[in-house]
Amino acid sequence: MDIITNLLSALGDVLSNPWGMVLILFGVVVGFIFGATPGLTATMGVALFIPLTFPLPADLAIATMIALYCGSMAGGAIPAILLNIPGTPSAVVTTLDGYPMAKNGHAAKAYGWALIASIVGGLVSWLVLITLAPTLAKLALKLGPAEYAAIAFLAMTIIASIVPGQLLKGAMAVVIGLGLSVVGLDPITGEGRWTFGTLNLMRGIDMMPALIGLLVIPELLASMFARYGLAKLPYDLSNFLPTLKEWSGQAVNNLRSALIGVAVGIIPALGGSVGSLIAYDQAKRLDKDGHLYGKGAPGGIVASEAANNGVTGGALIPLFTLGIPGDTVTAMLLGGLTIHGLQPGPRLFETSGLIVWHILAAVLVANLLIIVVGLFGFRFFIRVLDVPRHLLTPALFVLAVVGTYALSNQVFDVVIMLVLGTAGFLMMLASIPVYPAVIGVILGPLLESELRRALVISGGDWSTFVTRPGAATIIAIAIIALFLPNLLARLKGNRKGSKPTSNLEQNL
Amino acid sequence: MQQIRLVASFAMTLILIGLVVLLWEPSFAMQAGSRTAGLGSGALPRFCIVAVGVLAVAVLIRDVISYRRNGAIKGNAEIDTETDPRRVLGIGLATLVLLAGFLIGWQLLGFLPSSMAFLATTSMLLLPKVRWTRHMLLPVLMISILFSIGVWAIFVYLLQVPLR
Repeated sequence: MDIITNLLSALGDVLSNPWGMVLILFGVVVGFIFGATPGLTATMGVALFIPLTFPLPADLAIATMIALYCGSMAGGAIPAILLNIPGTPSAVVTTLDGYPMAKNGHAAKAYGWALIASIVGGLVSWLVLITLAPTLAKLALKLGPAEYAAIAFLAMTIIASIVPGQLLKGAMAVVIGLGLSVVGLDPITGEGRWTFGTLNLMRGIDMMPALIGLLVIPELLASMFARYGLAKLPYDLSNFLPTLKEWSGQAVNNLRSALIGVAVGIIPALGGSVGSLIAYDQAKRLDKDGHLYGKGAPGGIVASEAANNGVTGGALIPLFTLGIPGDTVTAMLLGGLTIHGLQPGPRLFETSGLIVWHILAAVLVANLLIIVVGLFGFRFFIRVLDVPRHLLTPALFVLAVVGTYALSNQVFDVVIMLVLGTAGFLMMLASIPVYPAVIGVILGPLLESELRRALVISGGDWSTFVTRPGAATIIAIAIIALFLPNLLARLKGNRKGSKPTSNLEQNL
Repeated sequence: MQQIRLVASFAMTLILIGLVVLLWEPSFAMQAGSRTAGLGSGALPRFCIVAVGVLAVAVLIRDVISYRRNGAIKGNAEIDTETDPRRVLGIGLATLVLLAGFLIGWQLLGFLPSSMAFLATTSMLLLPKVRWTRHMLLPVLMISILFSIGVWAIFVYLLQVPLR
């Protein structure tokens, strides 16, 4: 009952605020633009627009950013269908059936399927978000420092080990991130660490400049080398939405894929591309027309788009309840929440409950606005694909620099961003994943402070992490997560020799 | 392109080892912990530099072995391996140098001139030389000027951020 009362009240506030509605619509439109433009990502969009939200109230600022996130997931389908190039990493799987449908002359229909699937995926994830988040927040309040340290450790191990065969590089990236979080004053003793007596380093490395440097700069640099074709507007845009009867044939697929997306979104680091891949695989196995997947089957588009929009709500759950981002976009959102004076974690609902409910209501509105923006903006978004790269990319660099400076009017922040941007570019060339380093920066302070607090409480006794059932369970899961992907990859490799690979594996 | 990736792996290892050497003494000068109080301020710094040192060397060895066996280092290639490596290095490094120049120019000359210069130069860097005609360069200059003024106005007047 609490949930319904809070939600209805917040929804009323959001809908009765015309300025708020305009901002959410703006967020969705900008999200579509970032999603529809290959080389630009939702992470970039949120990072570059956070400084523009400074004058806004916290709930509207965060709602605008989340609207951008939802819009970008839906927008990523446009170049995936028209150019066989995913607009965002989450739309990779959409190319498998979206582009063949376009080649067969059904580009508009493919887009219609993607749009409906995105909205259903977003709404399902929103329902799970508003149901689970308050409950999980109450549960999280019962966790002690040992459990929090274990959760931070679990998040880092999942992220470090997510790609089989890259455990060493993933682990190194996490430790690099931890090292970046060390710089500054010790949170308990106040002792300067790696500061060399300089005032700037005593402030520590701020999270937002580090995130922009590690995530945005390398992505912008990589986009400078990509080759993109020119998109052609489909001739006939009438009746491109599927009918109710057509959709009912994909309803189960749509809902199942959305739930897979939510589940994947809750686990840190997996993200939209993993969610859509798992959903596509399941849809192909369970559909009686599974043999048509990869040749232009609507079910393939539905599975992918429902899952990647399902991830949006799922990724917000650990962010709001534990302060742990579910993916790179929510990592940026964490920075945004902190800048606007909100502390993500279990106490968020207690200390800023009204603001959080406004944000949740705005997420619903954003998901509903996707259909409006998607329907009327299709022609415009296709034109966005033709904006010359040599003008767009330098402009985004300027926004990144100015945006970083605007965070606290410190040139040092921009220096940090450029240094880490250079390091991120080198890491990208050396195939060292950057996201684990980002998680190390974000979770390093949490891991260290909770670990030290737990040891002070236990009198220096490390067995507290084994004797406390919660902490012991989480650490056991972390250890399994560390080695399981590699083990599974090796077993799969042994079996591949005797079994033919599936179409999905061949296509990817 | 695979050679560039291997060289990048070498460079990362060298940088990380350099940082380990630089930060070794300050890390071990701090107290790591006590039996009753658990971890001290030096515990995480020590862990980081030892772990990074060991992992950096292990990663490099693995990459070298992988390159000698398969002609490629381990890991996903974010940049298409068909891309001309000279383009990647040339444009990538040049852009980073231009960004540093933008920041220095901002401090010395002010935001507007340095931003306009950065936008125009980077746009021309991304244009193939054959397209450096008046027809292409004039719009580049105009957009650099208009965009810089637009950003300056939004940040100074709307967001109250002093962009000198």
